[in-house]
Amino acid sequence: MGRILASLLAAAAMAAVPAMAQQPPLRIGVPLPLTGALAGGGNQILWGIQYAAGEANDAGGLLGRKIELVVEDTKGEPNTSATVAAKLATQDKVDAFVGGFGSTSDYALLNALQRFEPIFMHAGSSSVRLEEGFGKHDWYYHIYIWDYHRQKAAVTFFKSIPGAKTLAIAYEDKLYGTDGSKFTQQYAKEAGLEVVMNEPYRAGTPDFAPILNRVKGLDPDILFIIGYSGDNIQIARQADQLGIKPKLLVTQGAGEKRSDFGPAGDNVVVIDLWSAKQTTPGLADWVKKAEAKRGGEVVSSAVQGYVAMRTLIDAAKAAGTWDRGKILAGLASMTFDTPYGKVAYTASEMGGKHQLITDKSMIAVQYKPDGGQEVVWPADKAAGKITYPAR
Amino acid sequence: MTTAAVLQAVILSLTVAALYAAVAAGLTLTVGVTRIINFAHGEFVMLGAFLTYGLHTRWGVSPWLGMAASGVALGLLSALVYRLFLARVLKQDEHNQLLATLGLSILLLNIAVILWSPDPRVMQAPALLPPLRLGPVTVPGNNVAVALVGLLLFLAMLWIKNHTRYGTQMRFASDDPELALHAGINVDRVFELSFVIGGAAAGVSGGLVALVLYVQPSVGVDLVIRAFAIIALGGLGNIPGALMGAAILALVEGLVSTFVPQGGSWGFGVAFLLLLLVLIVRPSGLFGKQVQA
Repeated sequence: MGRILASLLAAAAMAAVPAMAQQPPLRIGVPLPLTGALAGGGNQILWGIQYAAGEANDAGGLLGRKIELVVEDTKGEPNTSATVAAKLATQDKVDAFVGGFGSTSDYALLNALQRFEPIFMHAGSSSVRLEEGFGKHDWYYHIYIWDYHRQKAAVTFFKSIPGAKTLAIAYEDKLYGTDGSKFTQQYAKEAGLEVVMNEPYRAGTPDFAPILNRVKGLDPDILFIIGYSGDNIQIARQADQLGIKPKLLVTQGAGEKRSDFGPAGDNVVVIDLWSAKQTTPGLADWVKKAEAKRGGEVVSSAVQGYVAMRTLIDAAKAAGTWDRGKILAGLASMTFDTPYGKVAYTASEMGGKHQLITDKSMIAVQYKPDGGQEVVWPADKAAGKITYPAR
Repeated sequence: MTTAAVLQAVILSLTVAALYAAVAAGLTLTVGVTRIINFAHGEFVMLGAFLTYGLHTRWGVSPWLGMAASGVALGLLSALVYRLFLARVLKQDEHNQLLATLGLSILLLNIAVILWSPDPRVMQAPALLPPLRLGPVTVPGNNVAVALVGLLLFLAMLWIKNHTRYGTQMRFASDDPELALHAGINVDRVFELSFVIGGAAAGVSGGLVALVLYVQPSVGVDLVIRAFAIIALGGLGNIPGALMGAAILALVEGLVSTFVPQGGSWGFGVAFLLLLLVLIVRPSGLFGKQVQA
């Protein structure tokens, strides 16, 4: 009698447990560089993924199941990335992957994963080699832009500036900058802009005076820097110190903040993916909530992580069941409401089948002398007008 | 190519040379005396840069004071590193010493990434000195400050080595450690002192880096490669030679970058090509003592 009573009590207790806890969790593999040189961006992306998963879990889970993130540090190293990929796929047996940041290590990661054909939501990395290698697969979804999108957006922005006809390019001399310079020249030629300088520099060089002195002599309408954040800041700072003031200095957003530039950043324009200040419907509310949760500023790379996770959640919800085929079909056909606005995965130029953010989503932000910043391009997202010439 | 453009390139390259020289100053002394190839010297510079940046950004401490504080802090850290770590590998094979300092360099770099992230930071400090105007050329005030401090560091190293009791002991211990021991010199103590002075100089030069460059964990990596090139060019342990080496390296790099098309990529390489040529023709460096076989 006692045993029957105990069993009944146990059954009653089980029934009282919420449905979410009875189902096994959905396990999402999150491979990201959390230490090493790429850790800054990797941790931002991780925060975005955690925020989206947390939102879903707080609302009762996904399809009645809790989302469990299995986070692994790739260190941004190809060998570690391949090991992490195998572990997540074979030992942890995750249901899908969301993450990835750093083109070289992600190439190794995806190479190791492709025989498993998992649902892969790729939050970061922009090398065209990844698009050529993996973009054609049905299971591969890429959120971040490809290299040429950035350059295409930059040139379209240059063309929108009245009177801008000549362009000087300074680029870091590795894969990122070299590819960027190549695509910029190609699009500039097509757009009828004259490239008057195309000079490489070594990332981390302490002295940009040689490049700046050339710029002084050429006096181009736009000086475009394709490099990493430290060098972007250093070029602006050194130009200011040397009294060399280009009509407009444009950089590609690489994670730097307005405050990093100080007064040297006045009127500098940054081509970026996203700004909390762009005029996208519903964005202000999202930013307010996210910043409250974050306890500070939410940066562009965090939004990449959020959108990667969020679009997977939305597609699974629409499918109504964790069915790989139905989720992939949903991802391919749905339009998603995101901090970028309403976007869909579409085909891209170099063979990728599912690309979310393109040059059409990009923006130009101008740093204002009062220490603030304003989206100045494109017109439908702009909150103000560009100051040009900037000097 | 106008005269003004050449003058500008030369003068600005010389201010860059001062930064290189400042980073190389302590290394020259340490390598010259102990013969330890300290790969972690770049990370000592990085720590000095972070300290100067942190003191200024958090508490508004003047960069001058920040540099001095960084010198003291890195001097103390060097003493600790020497006692706990280097003193034990000094008696071992040279390869072990190399691997030990390389390991220390990687360890410090990783700790910095974990503590502060790889993001670059800029110290928004007002110019420490007014800009210097030389005809058509303007040298920013902070570059003038770097040139002055870099030169002072070198003079200090020269003075310590040539005009102090410890300097005499350093030279003696460096020339023949065993003979120095027999002469009653505490060689271990002398080596430690040279390592501490080198570390303090790295701390001060880190402050200079914060003043004119951006601060991030990997900032010392390129600088220490240049510093090794400079001391090899000038002659191992030769302090005036290292000053000349810094000027030559920075001038070659700066002039190639300014006047050769695509020179930004070539400058660094050409400077090291020059180093290779010098080492082939004169293995002891331009100003080092020639050793007879």
